[in-house]
Amino acid sequence: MPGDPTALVEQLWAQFLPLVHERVRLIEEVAAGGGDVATAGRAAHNLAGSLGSYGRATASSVARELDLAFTAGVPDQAWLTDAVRRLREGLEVGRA
Amino acid sequence: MTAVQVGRDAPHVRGRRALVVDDDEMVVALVRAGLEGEGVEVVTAADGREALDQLARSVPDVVVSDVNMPGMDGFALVSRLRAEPATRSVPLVFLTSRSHADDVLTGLALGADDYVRKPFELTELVARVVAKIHRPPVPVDTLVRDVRTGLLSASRLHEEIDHEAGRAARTGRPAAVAVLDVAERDQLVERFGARADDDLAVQVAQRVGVHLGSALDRVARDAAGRFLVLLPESGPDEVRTRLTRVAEALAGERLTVAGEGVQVTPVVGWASLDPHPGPGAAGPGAAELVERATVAADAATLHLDLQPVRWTPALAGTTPPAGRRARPSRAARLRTVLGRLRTAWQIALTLLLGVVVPFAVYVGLYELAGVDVSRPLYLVVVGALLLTAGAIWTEGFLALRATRPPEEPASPPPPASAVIAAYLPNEAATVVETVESFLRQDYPAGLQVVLAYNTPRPMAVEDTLAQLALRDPRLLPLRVEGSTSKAQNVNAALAHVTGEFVGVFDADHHPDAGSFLRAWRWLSHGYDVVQGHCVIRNGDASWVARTNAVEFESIYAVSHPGRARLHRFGIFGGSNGYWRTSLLRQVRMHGFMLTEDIDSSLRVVEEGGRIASDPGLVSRELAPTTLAALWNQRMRWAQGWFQVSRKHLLRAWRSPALSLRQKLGMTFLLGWREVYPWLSLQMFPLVAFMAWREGGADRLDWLVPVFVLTTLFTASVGPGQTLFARRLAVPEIRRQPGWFWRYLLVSSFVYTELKNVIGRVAQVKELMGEREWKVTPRATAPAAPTTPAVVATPTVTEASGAR
Repeated sequence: MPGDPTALVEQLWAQFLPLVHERVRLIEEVAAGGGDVATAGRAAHNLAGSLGSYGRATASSVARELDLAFTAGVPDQAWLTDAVRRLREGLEVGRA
Repeated sequence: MTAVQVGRDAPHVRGRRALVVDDDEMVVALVRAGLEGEGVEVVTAADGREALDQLARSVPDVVVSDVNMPGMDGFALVSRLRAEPATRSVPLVFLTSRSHADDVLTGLALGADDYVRKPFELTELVARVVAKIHRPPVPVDTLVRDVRTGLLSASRLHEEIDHEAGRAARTGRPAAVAVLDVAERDQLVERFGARADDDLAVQVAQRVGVHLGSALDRVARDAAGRFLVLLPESGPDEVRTRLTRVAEALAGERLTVAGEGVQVTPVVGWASLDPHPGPGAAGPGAAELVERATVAADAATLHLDLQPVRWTPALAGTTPPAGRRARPSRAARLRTVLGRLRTAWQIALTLLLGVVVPFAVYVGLYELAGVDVSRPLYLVVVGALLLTAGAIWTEGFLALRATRPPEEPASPPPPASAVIAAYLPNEAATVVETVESFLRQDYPAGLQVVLAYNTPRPMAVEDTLAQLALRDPRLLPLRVEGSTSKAQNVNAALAHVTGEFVGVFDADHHPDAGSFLRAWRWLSHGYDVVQGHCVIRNGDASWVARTNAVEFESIYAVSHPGRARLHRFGIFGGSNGYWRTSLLRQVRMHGFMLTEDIDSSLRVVEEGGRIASDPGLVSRELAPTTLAALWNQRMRWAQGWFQVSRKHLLRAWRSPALSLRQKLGMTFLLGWREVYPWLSLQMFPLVAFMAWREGGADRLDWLVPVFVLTTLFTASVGPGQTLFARRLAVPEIRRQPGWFWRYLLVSSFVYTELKNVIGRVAQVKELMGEREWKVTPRATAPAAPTTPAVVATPTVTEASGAR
C-alpha cells in the first residue's frame, strides 16, 4: 500500500470518528444514570483496544481506566462523568 | 504498505492470506490496511465462531486474533485451531489487552505463536505477522494444558503415568489408570456441532475434579476427546468406589450443551498399574495402560450401567482396540464402499437415461428417419421450465398473504394430547428436556404427553422418565415392544391418547408455548389437521445445518402455506402436525410407507378432509449437521415421495371428494415433482443435438430470445425463493442475513441440482427395490452388539417427515 503509515491511520481515523463518538456517548449515558452498563463496558473495552493503536495515547489511557472500572463492576457516576470529560478532552488533543 | 516499512527486508508475502479476528471493526480495519499494504490478502471475522466458519472454507497462512470477544473468544478459537489436523500448524498471533496481562501466558500455553499488546504500533504488528507467515509454529504436542478445561495434554499425562508406574514398582503401592467417556458424545456432536464436545469437556472435567477428589493435574483429554485419569496410591476397591461415584454423579446431573439441557451416560474403564511386575520384568508402559483402560471403557459401553469395568486379560479381543471403537468391521466397511459404488453407478445410470439416451434418440431419428424433434421438444422443455418457475413464484406471492387461524376458537379448548415418537438410543441425551418442554405448554384444558418409544435395550433414561411420570401424571412414557418405526409408535400411542386432538412430534421438537391452543383455533373451525412451521434451532452447528435452517423457512413459511392456498389442500409433514384424534385413529400411519406422514395426509385429503398450513404454529427442531446425514435424509424423503406418488396420483384423480383444482394440485405435487428432476436435464441433450446438427456449439445462436428469457426466469427462482424465505422467516433466522446469502449461493450452484440428483436416484433405488437405510447419523453412537449397522426399515428418527 503506497503512502505513509500516519496518513493511512488518519484516513481510517476520520472514517471511524462517528463510531468513536457513539461509543463515548454509550458510556456517557451510564454516567448520567441511564444506558446499559454491559454495552458501555464493551464500548470502553473497544475504545481501550483501539484508540492507542490510532495514536490517541491520552484518550487511550483514559479508556483503559474505564475498561478496568467496568470490569470491576458499575463505576461511580461522579467518577464516570469525570472520566468521560477527560476522554473527550483526550480526543480533542488528537494524535499524541 | 510502505507504511509498514518492513517491506524492504521482509520475506515475500504477496498473495498469502491472513484471517483477522476481532469484534472491533476499528481494529480490524487497521490490521487489514496494514497487512494489505504488504500484499497479504485479508479475510475477517467478528468472533471465534465466525473465524471457524472462515477456516472451514479455507485455511489461511496466519491468524491474527483478539482474545476478548463476545461469543467464542480467542482462547477457545486457538484450542479448536490446534485440535484440528488441518489448522494445527497455522501460526496464530494474539492481540492482547494491556489490562489483562495473564492473557499472554494463557495464550502462549494454548498454542499461540506470538502476541502483540493493544494498543499496538501498526508497523510492529505487521512485521510480527509477516515474520510468522514464514516461521514454523509452536508444535502443538508440546502444549501442557488445555486452559478451557484445566486438563493436561494426553502426552503430559502419559509421562505422569510412566513416572507413577516406576514409583509403584519401587514402593509396591497400587495405582490405576482410567478412561472416562460419555456414551452420547458422538450423537451430541452430530446434532450440535463441534462445540458440543467443548461444552461437554468443560462440564465433565469440572465434575470429575469435584467427585473424584483428585487434582486436575492427573486428568487429561486425549485426541479422541476421552478423559484419561491417573489414580495414584489407590487399591482396586478404592478405585472402583471413586469411579462409580463419578459415573453416578455425572449421570444424575443435567449438563448444558449448546444451551440445551442434556443427560449423559458416562462409561468408565480402568486398568491397574501392576506394582509387582516380577523380577527383571518391566510393567506395562503408559500407552499400554491407557490402551487397557480404553478397552475396558469400550466394554462398559456395551452395558451402559454406570459400572466401571476393570481391564482383565480376558477382555483383550472381546472389544475393538482403543481408538477403533467407532470403526466398523471390514465387512461393514466393504458394504459401505459397495453401497457408495452402487449409488455412484445409479447416478451414472440416471445421467445415461436423462442425457445420453435422449441425445442418441434425437440423433438416431435425424439420421435414420430424417426427423428433427428438437424444435417441438425445445418448446416443451422451455414450457416445462417456465411452468415450474411460475408455480414457485406463485407459491411465494400467495404465501405473502399471511395465513392465520380464526381469532377465537369455535368451542372451548378440549383436553389435548401430544404424541412424541422416539427411537430412544438416539434421543437418550435430550429426551428429558424435550418432554419437559411439552409439560411446560400453556394449555388450559389439560395436555397429556405420551412419549411413545422403541429401544433395542433397556436405557438408564427410562428410569428418569418413570420418575418424571410419577411426579407429573400428565406424562405417559410408553415403550412400544417390537416396534421398528415411527408409524408403529404413533399407532401404539393412540390406544392411550385421551385428548380430543393430538399433536404428533419427533423427539427433537420444542413447540412454542401456546401451540396447542393455536392449533385448536383451526381444528375447532372445521379443519381436520393443521401442519405447523418447523424451525431449525441448531443452525449454528455447521454450514449444512445453516443451509437447512434457511431451506426450512423456504419450505414451511413459503411453500407449504403458498401451496395450500394454490392447491386448496395442505399436507402433514410428519411432525408439528395436529390431528383430530378420531380421524388419526381411523387413518393411522402405515409403517410400510417410507413417508408414512405424506401417505396419511393424502388419504385424508382424498377422503375430503381439510388440512391447514399455519406458519405461525412454530416448533423448533434439529437439522442434520453433516452432508452425509443430509444426503441420507433427503434420499429417504425422495424415495418416500416417489412411493407415495405411485400410490396416490391415480387415486387422487379418482377421488370424488377432490375438486378439479385440487386434482391439478395433486398432479403438480405428485406427478410433476417426480418428472421435474428429469426435465431439468433435458436442455443438455437438446442443445448437444443442435450443436451436433449445426457442426459445433459456436454455430448455435445462443441469444435466441426464448432461450435467454427462459434462462433468466428460471434463474430468478433461487433468489426469489430466498427473498420470500427472508421476508417470511421467524425472527431468529431472519436475524442471520449471512445465512440467506450463503443459502442463495449454495442453492444456486449446488444444492438445487443435488436435490435433483437425489430425486432421480431415489426413483432408481425404489424401482430396484433398494430399501436398506443407514441409521446415520446416529449409528455412530455406542450400540449394543445385537444392533445391526444397517436395518431394513427406517427408524423413527430417520423416517420423520418428508416435508
